[in-house]
Parts: sequence; C-alpha cells; structure tokens
Amino acid sequence: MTGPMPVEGHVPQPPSRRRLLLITAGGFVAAAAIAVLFVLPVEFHLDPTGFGRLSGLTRLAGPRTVKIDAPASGAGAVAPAGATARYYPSAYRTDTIDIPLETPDKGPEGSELEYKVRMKAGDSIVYSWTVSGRAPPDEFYYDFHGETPAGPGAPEAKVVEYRQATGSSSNGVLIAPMSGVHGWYLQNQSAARVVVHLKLSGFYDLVPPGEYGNTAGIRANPAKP
Amino acid sequence: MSRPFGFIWAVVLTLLVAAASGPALAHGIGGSDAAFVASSKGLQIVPFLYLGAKHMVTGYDHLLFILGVIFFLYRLTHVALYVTMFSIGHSITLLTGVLSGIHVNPYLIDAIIGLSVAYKAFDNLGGFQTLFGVQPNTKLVVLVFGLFHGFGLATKLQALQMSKDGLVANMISFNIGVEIGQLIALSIMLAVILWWRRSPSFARHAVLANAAILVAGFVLMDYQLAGAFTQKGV
Repeated sequence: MTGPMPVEGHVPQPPSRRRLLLITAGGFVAAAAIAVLFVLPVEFHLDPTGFGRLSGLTRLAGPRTVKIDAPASGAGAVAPAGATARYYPSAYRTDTIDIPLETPDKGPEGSELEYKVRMKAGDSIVYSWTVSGRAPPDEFYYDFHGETPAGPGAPEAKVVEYRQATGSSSNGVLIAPMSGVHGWYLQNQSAARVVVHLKLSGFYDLVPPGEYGNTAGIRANPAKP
Repeated sequence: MSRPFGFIWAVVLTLLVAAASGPALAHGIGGSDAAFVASSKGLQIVPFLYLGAKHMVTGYDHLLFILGVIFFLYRLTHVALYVTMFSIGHSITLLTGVLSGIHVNPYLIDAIIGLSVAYKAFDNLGGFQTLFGVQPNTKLVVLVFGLFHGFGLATKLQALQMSKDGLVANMISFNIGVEIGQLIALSIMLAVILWWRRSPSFARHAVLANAAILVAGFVLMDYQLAGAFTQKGV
C-alpha cells in the first residue's frame, strides 16, 4: 500500500453528517420495504401490500403448514371418557409390510424413506414393527407423524407429530386426530442393511405405491414363496 | 447513480454473501443434520466439529458481522485481537446457554444479531463520531455482540434436543467447529478485502459496501422480528 496507513476502524473519508443521515435512514426504510414486500410474503405468508400475490412471490412460499398438537399418551394411559369404544362402518383390515433400507454410505436414496397409510379423522390402527438386521437400536431413527397435504380446497398443510426417537421396535395404537396420511419417516444410520417388518391392523387404507405417503413404492403383503 | 461501479460492487458483495448462505435460508440446523443430532448419543467429536464449522461457513448473519468488524482493520494483529474478542464472547454464551438450559427467544436473539450487523456498518461509516461526537469502545462492543451471537448458536443447538450422553464433549466439539469455520470464512474475506483495498477507489466503494451491509443487517433484523411476532416460519 502506498501513502500513509489510513486510520483503523472506519472509512478513510467518512461521509458528511447529512449524507450519513441519508444512508442510515434510507437504509432503514429500504430494509423495511424489502422485508414487507419480499420477506413477509415468502417466509410468513403475510402480504399486507398485495405485492406478494401480484408478483407471484406467494407461490414461492408454498402452502401454509399448520402444526397440530397431538395429545400423546404414555403407556397404559386411560382413554378419555367416551372414546373407550369406537365403531367403524368401514371394513377391518390387516397388512404386513416389509421395508428394506440400505446403509447410509450409498446416500439418502434407499437408507431413508416415508411409509404412511391413509386414515380419516377418528380412524384407528394397531401397529407393531421391528427392525431385522444387525443395526444397533440407537442407529435406527424414526419420526412417527401424520400430515394432510395442501391441495384443492385445502390451502393449508397440516402436520401432527407423534414421536421422534431411535429404536429397533415400536408398538402402539394411533387414533388419527385428522384426515390425512399417517406413518413413519424411517432412517437407517447403521453400517448394515436392515428390513423393517411392519404389522398393521384396524381401519385405514394403504397408499398405492408411488402416491403421496408411499413415494418409495413399498408394496404390502409380499407373496409367500 | 453517478458511480455505477460502486453500486455494482455493493450488489456483488451482497450476492456473494447470499450465495454463501446457499439453501440454508432459515439458517438453523436442518434436514438430515437435525436427524443426526436428535438421534446421536455419546461422543461424536468429528460430526459435531463439522456441524459447527458448517453452521459458521453458511451463517450469513455471523459472516456479515465479522466482515463489518474486519473491514477497516489494517493490521493482522488487530484482526486476530478483534476476532478473538468475538470468539470469547460467543463461546461463553454458547457453552453456558446450552449447559444451564437457559432458553431465550431465538427470534429476538437473531434480531439482535441482525442489529449488530447494522450497528457495525454504521460504526464503520464513522456514524458515532459524525452524529454524536463519541466513539464507543469497539473491542468491548465486539465482545458484547459476541455474547449475543453465542446465544444464537446455543438456541440452534437447543432446538435439536441433544442427548445428555456426551453433551459437554459434543458441545465443545461444536464450538471448536464454529471457530474453525470462522477461520476459514475469515481467510477468504481477508484475501478479498486486502485485494480490494489496493484499488484506488476503495474509499468510495467502501462507503457503499457498508451502506449495503447496513441494509442487510436491518433486513435480517426485520425478518427475525416478523418471526418473533408470528412465532413461525424460519
């Protein structure tokens, strides 16, 4: 660098008082405008000016997602009065599903997937699954949840969380708090290939392979050799 | 605009920062990283080192603040001193925040972090001397804002519900990772700024660049304040 070393800490030629005020106030206003015109519509579904709709920014935001609290009960919890006995006009069914999962070193494709079934609000299932293979229990992660994707007539997606944990088996009952797909995100973190053996019975519908909730294309009830 | 070149510089700078942030727009720890933290037990030194470094390298709010701090530091010893003050600040609150289980509102903390970016840009423009005739102690301010940045880091870890098993070692690994990531980002920013200072028009463009950082800081602040009031998004 030629010439004397400039003073540390600020610009070599600080702007005048007038210009500084202009920069600071202008910066504050510009930031507020950016936040209101762009950030609020995309990140928060708030569009006070209508610019988000006009410019198509709200489409970028995607459907609104609402998180619903599920009254999760522990083991042996007493069902609320009136919910002890339930009757269903639909047919009872039972299915067994084998879900193979690769090791994560081959990438997320194959080592993690979602398997869900369709349930209407109030429908119930009894489920039980175990992981076979040599995966240590703490290297198998699952996220039991339900969701209603947004679609025609449903501008908001709904998500309800039941359980996030690690383990090599899980048993329980689910009474769907809302209509939608309910099931598991499964993730194999171990160095071994595993198969999840899932048994379901109750009142629900399987999601055809490839459709939402079963995009991995898992087929139920494998034919016995 | 009478100086279109300066304006281009400011835009390029903003875009660089935005590009560095990549898809991590929300700037939490997400996706499979979050699943890893939630499911990991026991000692996981290297993964947490990596997560810490990644959080810093992709953390545009922290990066903008550091850029503001080093913008007009001409001696490497001073760069080292200021960055150390920042590290001491954020390490204190990261470690005590997670260990004590103090829960601060993550949106308000991130709003203050955004404000710290705007503050530093204003300071760089000579704002305090020009408008008020005083100069707040710059080292002390970096330390204090470092404390807030550390609370921000702590809220990101707390949101993931780390296992108690191996917590201290994993958290310290995360902290060291943060420092490594900061050094990586700092080296790149220093290289660019040293090269830029040799340009004869640096003084003029520096005003514009700091004005751009000021706007970016206020945008980050507004973004997080909106989150604080709606308690979602982000």
